[in-house]
Amino acid sequence: MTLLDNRPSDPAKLIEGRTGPWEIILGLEVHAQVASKAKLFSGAAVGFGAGPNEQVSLVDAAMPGMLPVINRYCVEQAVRTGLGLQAQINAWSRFDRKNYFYPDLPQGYQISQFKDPIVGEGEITVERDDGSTFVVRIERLHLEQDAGKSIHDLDPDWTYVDLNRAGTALMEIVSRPDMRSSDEAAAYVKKLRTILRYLGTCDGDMEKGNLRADVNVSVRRPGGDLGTRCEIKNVNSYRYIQQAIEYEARRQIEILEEGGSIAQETRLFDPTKGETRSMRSKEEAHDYRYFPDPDLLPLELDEAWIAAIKAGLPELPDAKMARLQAQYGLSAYDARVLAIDIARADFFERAAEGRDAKLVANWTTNNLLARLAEAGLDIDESPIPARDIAGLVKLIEDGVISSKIAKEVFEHMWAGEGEPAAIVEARGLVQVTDTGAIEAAVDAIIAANPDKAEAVKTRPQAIGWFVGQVMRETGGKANPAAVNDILKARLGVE
Amino acid sequence: MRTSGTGALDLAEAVRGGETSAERVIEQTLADIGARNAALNCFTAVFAEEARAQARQLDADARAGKPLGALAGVPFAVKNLFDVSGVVTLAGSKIRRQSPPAERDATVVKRLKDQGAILVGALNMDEFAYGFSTENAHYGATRNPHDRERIAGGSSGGSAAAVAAELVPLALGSDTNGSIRVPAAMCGVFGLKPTFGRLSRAGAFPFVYSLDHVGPFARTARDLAAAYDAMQGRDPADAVCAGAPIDPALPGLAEPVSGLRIGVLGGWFQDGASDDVLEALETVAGALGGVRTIELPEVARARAAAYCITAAEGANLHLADLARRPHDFDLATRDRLMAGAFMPAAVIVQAQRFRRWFKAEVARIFEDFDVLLAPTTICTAPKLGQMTIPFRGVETPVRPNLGIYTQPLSFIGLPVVAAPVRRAGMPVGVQIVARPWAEAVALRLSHHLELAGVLAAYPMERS
Repeated sequence: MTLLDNRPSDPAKLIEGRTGPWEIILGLEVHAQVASKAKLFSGAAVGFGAGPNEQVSLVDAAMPGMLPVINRYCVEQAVRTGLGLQAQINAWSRFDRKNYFYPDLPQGYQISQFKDPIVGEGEITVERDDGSTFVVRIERLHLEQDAGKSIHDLDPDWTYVDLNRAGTALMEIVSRPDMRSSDEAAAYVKKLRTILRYLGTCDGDMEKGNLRADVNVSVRRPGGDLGTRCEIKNVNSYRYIQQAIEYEARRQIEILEEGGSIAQETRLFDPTKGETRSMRSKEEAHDYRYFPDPDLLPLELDEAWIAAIKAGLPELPDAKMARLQAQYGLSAYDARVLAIDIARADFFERAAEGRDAKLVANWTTNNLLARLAEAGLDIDESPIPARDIAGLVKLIEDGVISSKIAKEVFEHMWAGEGEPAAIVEARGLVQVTDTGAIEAAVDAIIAANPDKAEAVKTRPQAIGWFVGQVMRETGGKANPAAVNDILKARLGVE
Repeated sequence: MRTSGTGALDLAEAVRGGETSAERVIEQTLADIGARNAALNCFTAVFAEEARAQARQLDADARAGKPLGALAGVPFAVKNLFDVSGVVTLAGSKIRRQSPPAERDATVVKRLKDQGAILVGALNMDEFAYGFSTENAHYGATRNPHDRERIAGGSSGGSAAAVAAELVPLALGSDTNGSIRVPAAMCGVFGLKPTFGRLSRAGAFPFVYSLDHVGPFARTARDLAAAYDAMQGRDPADAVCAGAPIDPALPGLAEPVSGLRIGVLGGWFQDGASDDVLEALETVAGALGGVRTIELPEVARARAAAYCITAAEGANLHLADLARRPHDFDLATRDRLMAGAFMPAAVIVQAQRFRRWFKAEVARIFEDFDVLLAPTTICTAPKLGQMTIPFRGVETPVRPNLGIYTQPLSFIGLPVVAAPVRRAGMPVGVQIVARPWAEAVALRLSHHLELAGVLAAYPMERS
């Protein structure tokens, strides 16, 4: 593999060692479980929460004489993902056997793709928290089987094996070493997850292990040659990815600064201790005795079929972000926060229909999403539906409530007290937009100050004085915008 | 209870009453900062562990029945020119990164902590406090919470934005020519620049010794007064504050304002202001009723003199670094400090002489008035990166000129509350100016105008 730098050293990303600055080089292999009802080569069901060994076919258990049959839908999902990553789709690809011995791998080999993966090079644009972007090149995406699960801690003397997961389809998505900090690595996984969820090819559930990353970490002097890398296996949260990288980079720098060298190896991240430790020395490809699986024919895809899949792709995150900005006038930040999750974007678009979209975006991002995050809920679980956010914004637009009161109403909505209009009614939160009362005050003040009313005709800002007078008359309960409108009408200014 | 967005005194009351704990308040605050600071860039440092430890201690004290301070459990943050024990005082610069950490808290920081307030972080600013935009070359721009494409104002931009965004209910800033008042106006919060010499500057990295003030930001006049009261008191460590009298503002906040003689500053202070700004000023005047418009003499000279003293004294402070490592300065700061370094001594002497004259003239005007009103800035917050603004028919540079209405007042050390006017659109502020040592009067009037619905911190979701 040629490791081409796509980025010059960025001084802000360097970390200081005892003997000078170091640059972290990161590449990720992400394993994404294909969203599919059945496994890659068998008809057994895929699902979470089934009892041990309830979702195992004879093929998955590697009974003698069983032959794999490829799941067309899983192939379609891989192609869809490749197209979403703007990657090359290989019309000809092949499955290989990767041989190793482990109790949860009954076949004694994993069916994977080695030399000829189904998807070749692509790239994705990743946003950092501050809104700036960088590009991560994708080296390849291939299909492979997942292994079963060995459970060592159920019994002091025995190890149990659960084959429910054995044979489940995985997409391994391999990036180029294009990330330079733990923040960037996390941002990349976030973006990748967003794309997969938009495409519907992986549910992205990291807690269940349906999306997990192997992180390749090496360090080097800025602009120097690439160092030896260590691979940290199976990290399954953004925070762990970041912690593992920070620890591992520090560990490597300390070794190098003390004159040692890095051994290429596979390491494990221990989240309770926040450290990585050696698992096994890194295998080379030849250790696995890869060879083409004689039970499977090469996979040949029809161009028309690929084109049909392409035509059916949904709007992807970058396009959605651009459209949210263009169509609704949202800031880049708000568009990003909404587009990061397709459910959020849908929620927003449902609420924004016919409403002041920027206001809807503010209420969705600043208030609702913040509360959901505190409560640990996703937007699909929001106790406040989109139509109620729309309803709240309408009340503000119509001047029925001020934005300050709206906050109070929002709290009641969150507490499950129902629709905003009903809450405002029940709690008497309507602000004085009783235009009758305001108009009466306005008329009295204009009548008492004809000279000032006249002055407004030549100096429009002088209308502010009337606003202040009306506020005084109404004890501050009047809506300033409503007062302004009425005054303008009465005084005949625009 | 939900603590985000709750005022300082209300929070303290809830903590003292056991409705919530300091620890819960701090966890909520840290979570808010974690979730929302990245988009705004208010904080340059968050002291999570120290804040948690202080909160736990406070809760333990509460359980033990010990008396709790007036600001018990109230999170606050400070412009990063205030000394915080164990932390390097950056003053927005790259140059000071190599300085040793501060050995003790700045006096005002300590006094807030003594009342139970909990320091959660340090805030972004213009380098060495020289600027009105908080677009810092080393630490990035702070964004205006009400429109993230716009500046927060400066130099205490991080402080104003953090309060406006409801990340903290209280923050500290400093004001040499308007650095509390300008960002308060642009972010729609209350700020107090007290009388010169009222609050101790010990442990605040200086900019212009004869013009520097420190002061608080808050979302209500009441919270502003509470923070101000907590920080008052003599301090031998700051020579100009050694004799400062103590005059608490909070107890008399609700007393009537009917007898106050109020004037609106015209002439220089309205010339060139945008329609938004003038309309807001008129709204305040209208609500007060029967106010007179008056002009101060020679305001243009006052501003020019303040400008010269600022540049020369500031340059004097940084002379060694300007000579040795000019490239480590923010370009915008360096050029103006350089200019100051070349200022003829005669100009400064003349500026100081004029200052005494101007101070005496304004004191005479205050014989007829208790409070003077003026706009805070010439316009609402400009866009990030915007270099010029139209002013009096001329495209004028943004950075030095947002303080056109603030500079002549700090020049003679007058106390000013910078207050947000309640209206639609981007935030607009007014300056409520009192005679020297009469902060309490300006705060009282602010409080009354707030109750009357004329002044109000801008609601956070408006953008």
